[in-house]
Amino acid sequence: MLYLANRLVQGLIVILAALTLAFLMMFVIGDPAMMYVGADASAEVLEAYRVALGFDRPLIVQYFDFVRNAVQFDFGVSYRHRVDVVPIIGERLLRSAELALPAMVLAALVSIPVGVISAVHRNSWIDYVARFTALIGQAAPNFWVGIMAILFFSSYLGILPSSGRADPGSPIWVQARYILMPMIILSLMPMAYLTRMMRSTVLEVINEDYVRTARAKGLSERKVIYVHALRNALIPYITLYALQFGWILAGSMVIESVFAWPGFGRLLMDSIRMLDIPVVAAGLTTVAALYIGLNLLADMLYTLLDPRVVNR
Amino acid sequence: MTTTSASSQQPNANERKDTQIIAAKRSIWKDTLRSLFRSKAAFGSAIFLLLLFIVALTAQWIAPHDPQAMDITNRMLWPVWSDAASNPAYLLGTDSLGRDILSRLIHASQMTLTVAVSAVIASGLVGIFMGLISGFFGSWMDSVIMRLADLQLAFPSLLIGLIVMSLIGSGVVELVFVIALTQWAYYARIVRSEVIKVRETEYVQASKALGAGNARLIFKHVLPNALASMLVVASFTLAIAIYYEASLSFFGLGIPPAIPTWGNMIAAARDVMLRNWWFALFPGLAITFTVLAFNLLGDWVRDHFDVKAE
Repeated sequence: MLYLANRLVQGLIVILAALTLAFLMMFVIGDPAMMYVGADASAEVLEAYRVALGFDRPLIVQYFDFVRNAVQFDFGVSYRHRVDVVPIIGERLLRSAELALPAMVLAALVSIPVGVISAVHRNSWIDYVARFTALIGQAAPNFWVGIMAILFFSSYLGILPSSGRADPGSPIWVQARYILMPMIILSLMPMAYLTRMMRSTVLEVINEDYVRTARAKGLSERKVIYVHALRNALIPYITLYALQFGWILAGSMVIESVFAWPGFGRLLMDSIRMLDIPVVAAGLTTVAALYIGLNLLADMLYTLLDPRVVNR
Repeated sequence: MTTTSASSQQPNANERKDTQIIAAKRSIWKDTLRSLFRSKAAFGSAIFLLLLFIVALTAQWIAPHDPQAMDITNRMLWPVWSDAASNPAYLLGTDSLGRDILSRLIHASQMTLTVAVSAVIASGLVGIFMGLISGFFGSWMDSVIMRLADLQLAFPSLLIGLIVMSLIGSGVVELVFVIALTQWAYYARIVRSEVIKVRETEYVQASKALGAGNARLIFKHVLPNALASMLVVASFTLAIAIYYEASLSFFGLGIPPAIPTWGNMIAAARDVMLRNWWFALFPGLAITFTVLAFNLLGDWVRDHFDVKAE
C-alpha cells in the first residue's frame, strides 16, 4: 500500500513536470497573445487580447492558474483549431486506439508462439529466420517501412489504400482495408522486441528445476512447454507487454503521420511542428498520465502473477 | 599468504608483477578479438561498420559525382540493373533534380556518423559527469539528478526530441544536443551505481587511506569498471542516434534539408516516390543495416563482458 502511494506521488510529480514544461514552452516561443491574434495585429488589439486572456498578470500567478485549470482538464483553446483542446484529444485518442489496440493484439499473437518455437527449436532454421526477422524489424526505421509498404501495396499492387481513414459510416471491411497497413507496421517494433524477449525468457525457464521435474514426471513435451514453461515465461512477458504500449505512443506519432491517420499521434506531431502549445501541453500531460498508468499496471500485474514478488 | 610469498620474492618481484599484468592485459585483448572473430554476427557487423567509417572518411574521393551537382538531362534515372531508362554513370540512379543517389548516399554517411558519434560522446560525457556528482556527493544532489533522470525517461524520447527541436530549430549541433539530452540518463545511472559499489570496497578504502584523491578513484577504479556497461549503452546509443537523425530529419526537424543525410533523402523522396521507389529504398537500407550492425555489436559486447542488462 505504501509502495502504491509512493508510486502515485512519483506519478503526480511527472505530470507536474509535464505541465511546467508545457507552460514554459508557451513563453519560450514568444508572446502567447500574438499566437491568438496573429503577427499582423495592431498594438492595441494585441494588448486588449493580452489582458482578456490574462497574459498580463505575473508569471507565477499565470503558472498556478495554468496548473489549476489543467487539473480540471482545461488546457485552453488550440491556437490552430480555435476550439477547446480536451475534447479533440479525447476524440483523437479513440482514433489512435483503432490502430494501437489491434497492433498490440497482433504483436502478442505473433511474438508468443514464435518466441516459444524459436526457443524450443533453438538453432534450427525456424529459430534463425525468426531471430533475423526480429533483428531487421528492430533496425528498420518505421517511417521508412511505412513508405516502402505504401509504395509496394498501394502504388505497385494497388490492393490497399495508401493513407487516411475510411468514412465512419462505411462497412467494416472498407474500414479494415484502411487500418490494415498502418496497424501491421505499428506492431512491427513491439512484435520484434517481444519475440526476442519471449525467446530468451523461455530459454531461461527451460533450464529451471520445475521444468526438469515436469519432464521427470513423464509429462508430454507439449505439456511441459505449454503448461509449465510458458506460464512462467509469461510473467515477465506481460509486464514488458504493458510497457510496450508506451512505445506505441511514440510509434503512432510517426506511423499516423506517414499514413495520414487522424489520431492522437498525428495531432501531437502536427501541434509540435506548428507550435500549437495548448494542444502540446494537453498531449504531453496525456502521454505522461498514460505512461504512469501503464507502469503502475505492469508492476501490479507482476505482483499479481508472481506471488513471490512483494512490492514494498 | 600473499604477503609472505610477495616478500619472499626478492629484488625483481615488481618487475615480474608488471610483466604478469601486461600479459593479462594482452590476453584480454586476445580474448576479445577471438570472441569477436568467433561470433559471425558481431564480426560481420564490425567489418561492415569499419567499411562504413572508411567510406565516410574518404567520401570526397570515392563518391563518383558531386552530391550536390544537378544533371538536368539525367533526372530520375533508374538504377542500372533495371531495364528502364538508366545510365551506367549513375549506378543507383538519380533523384528528381538529377543528383547521383550513390554519391549522396556516400556523403550522407559522413553526416549520419558525425551526428551519431558526437551524440554518443556528448551524452556519455554529460552522463558520466552527472553520475559522478550523484555518486560522490550523494544526499540532495543525488536525489535531484536521479529524479531528473527518472523524469526524462518517463517520456518517449522521440517526443522530447521533437518538442525541443521544434523550439530551438533544426541544425547539426542542435540535433546532437537533443540526442544527448534524451540519452545521458543511462550513462549517469551506470556510473552512479559503479561509484556507490566501488566506494565501499576495501581496495578503494585502502587507496583512500594511502591518500588517493577523487580523481585517482574516478580514473583508476570507477570508470574502468563501468567501461563495459557504458560500451553496451554506447553501441545502442549509436543505433538510436541514427534512427533519431533519420526520423527528425524526415519530419523536417533534424538536419536542414540542404545537407544530404539518409533521413533527408527519404524525406525528399516522399513527395515523388509514387513512381520512383529507389529514391527511398537505398537510404532506408543504409539506415537499417547500420542500425542492425550497431545493435548486433552491442549484443555481443553485452554477452562477452557479461553485462547485466538494465
